[in-house]
Amino acid sequence: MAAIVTISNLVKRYGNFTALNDVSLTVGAGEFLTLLGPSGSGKTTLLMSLAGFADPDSGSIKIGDREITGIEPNKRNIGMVFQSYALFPHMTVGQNVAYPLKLRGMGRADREEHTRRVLSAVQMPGYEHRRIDQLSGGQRQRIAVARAIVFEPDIILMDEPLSALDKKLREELQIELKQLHRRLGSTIIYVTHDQKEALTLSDRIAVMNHGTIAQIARPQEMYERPASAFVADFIGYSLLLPMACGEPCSIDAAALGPLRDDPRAVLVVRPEKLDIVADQDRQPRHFYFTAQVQDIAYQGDIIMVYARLRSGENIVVRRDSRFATSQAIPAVGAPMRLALHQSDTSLVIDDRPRPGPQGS
Amino acid sequence: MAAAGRRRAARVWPLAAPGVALVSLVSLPFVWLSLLSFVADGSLSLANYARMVENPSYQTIVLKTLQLSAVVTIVVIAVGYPTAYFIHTRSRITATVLLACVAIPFWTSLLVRTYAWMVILQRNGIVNGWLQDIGLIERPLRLSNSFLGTSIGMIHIMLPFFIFPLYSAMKQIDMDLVRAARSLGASRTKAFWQVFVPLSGPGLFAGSLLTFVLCLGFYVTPQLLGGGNVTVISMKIQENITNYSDWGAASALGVVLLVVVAGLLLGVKKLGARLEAQ
Repeated sequence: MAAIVTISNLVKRYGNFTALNDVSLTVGAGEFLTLLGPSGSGKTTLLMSLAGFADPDSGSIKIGDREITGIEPNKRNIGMVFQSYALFPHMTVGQNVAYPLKLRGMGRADREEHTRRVLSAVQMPGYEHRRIDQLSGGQRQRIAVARAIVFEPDIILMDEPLSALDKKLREELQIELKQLHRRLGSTIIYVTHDQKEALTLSDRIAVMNHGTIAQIARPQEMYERPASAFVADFIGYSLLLPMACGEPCSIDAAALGPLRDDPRAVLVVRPEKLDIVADQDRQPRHFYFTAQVQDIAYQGDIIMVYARLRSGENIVVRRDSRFATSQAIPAVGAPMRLALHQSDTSLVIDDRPRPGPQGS
Repeated sequence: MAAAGRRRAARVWPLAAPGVALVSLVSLPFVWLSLLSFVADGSLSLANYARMVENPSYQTIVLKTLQLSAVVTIVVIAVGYPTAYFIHTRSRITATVLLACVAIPFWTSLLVRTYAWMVILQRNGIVNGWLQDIGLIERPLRLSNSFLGTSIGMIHIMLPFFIFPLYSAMKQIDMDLVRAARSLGASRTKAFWQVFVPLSGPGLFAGSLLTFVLCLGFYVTPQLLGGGNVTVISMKIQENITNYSDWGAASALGVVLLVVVAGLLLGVKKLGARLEAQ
């Protein structure tokens, strides 16, 4: 049972600190939406407001047509997976999963049937009688998910559910979560500070900063067309270069959007989008840069080339380590010509605080 | 080689001094005193134990001691658990202040506190005076020199012993567990009883046991607040020694008290292990 979530003008203050500053957001039925942002950006406060553990100062949250602000957490019918999993240590796996069913007055036989089914859905069949302290981290995570979905809640909230696991297991469980979401078709709101996780899992990502939503978009759009310097910097690695650093070659100005004449506009340059080309190369719709190689870092699957532009800006080029591409990398100290297709970059306003004594 | 070994031995031996002192000053007298209970009229006998079985006054005393300890423990749980929970739910600063309020009487001498209760509870003391003033009672209640007075004094003394271990157990509880129960559909009350209370079980258990065991050996408070109307095992021990110089009888009572406490601890440990295994 997937529901639409409508959040309007939500404000939450803690003393002088504004955790949520007029946040509005609509999550579609069956959508997997990720709240992404640095710590203190308001993503956890937003999740806690949805769950009913934080009380917003103003604004409204609706699940379907039902207003839920002010409603007790137990009456919201929301499944939640906690960062610490919050599995009850004094109950078995089966009792944990059946707990929400018991609270809803379901009979014993039905409870057991539901528990059995949901445990196989999270690939833990037959674990009913295990104790929580006998489970590994990944197994606990699965049980926490099972407990959150067993009562068929309207929406499911997940608060960094994979952050306690090691990298390999995390990537496995990401795929499992994605498949589970596809099978259940439920609305999921997911919080993470891991941008790669957000890109992998989400239908849409909402990047939060200072209690507001900086941008909300599909993963690919978020990465390829960041709306601001903050988003460009937060999602993936990027360099922000003034357009004057490069030499444009037959650029289609219309494609660059409304910021093309703004003096504060900078190019978002991702290291993997840069190509090392021959000196005389001049393809249309490209920006060209001339740089001198400063350092080369071999990292196994990739090679990072650190270079300095003639204008003094530092730039990083990411190359794969295949023979053909690695051969094209000049030696340290040598000059190189870099090409960037106009579709591989976008313009943003550089509003980042400047470091230095005059900075506030 | 032998000389070096001797020199090393000479250096190491002094380290045994605390052990020797402990054995000679504590363990040996303890064993000797315990053995005295098996001696009556200068010969080995079980007369000291037989008397306890035959003489009904001894059974009354043991029962009174158990009854007093049980009443005090139950009231301490009833008052202490909500107190510990209240402190637990306050902000850090408030909690620190409240804990200090619990700790200050804890640091005050037991004798001083018992005398304070004697003043408060006496026939024309504060409580009786106040109750008469507001017209709730006509004649003063028998608050001191009674089982009630003794219980009140002991409850006050035992509360910190219960609250501190319980509070630290509550602090260990991950409050996300209570939030999880709420999000799964549990009301505030259900989340408290089905999640918080079971998780505070070990602390509740430790605190109650500590309270009960300490109550069994209480002497000063029943002596002063009981006013001769409450006789517990420790008072009978003292009476046997100072009034009758009957070390055997006193020792037998001590051994019984020790066995009861040891049996209680063992039983509780077994019970805990069985609950754990389930």
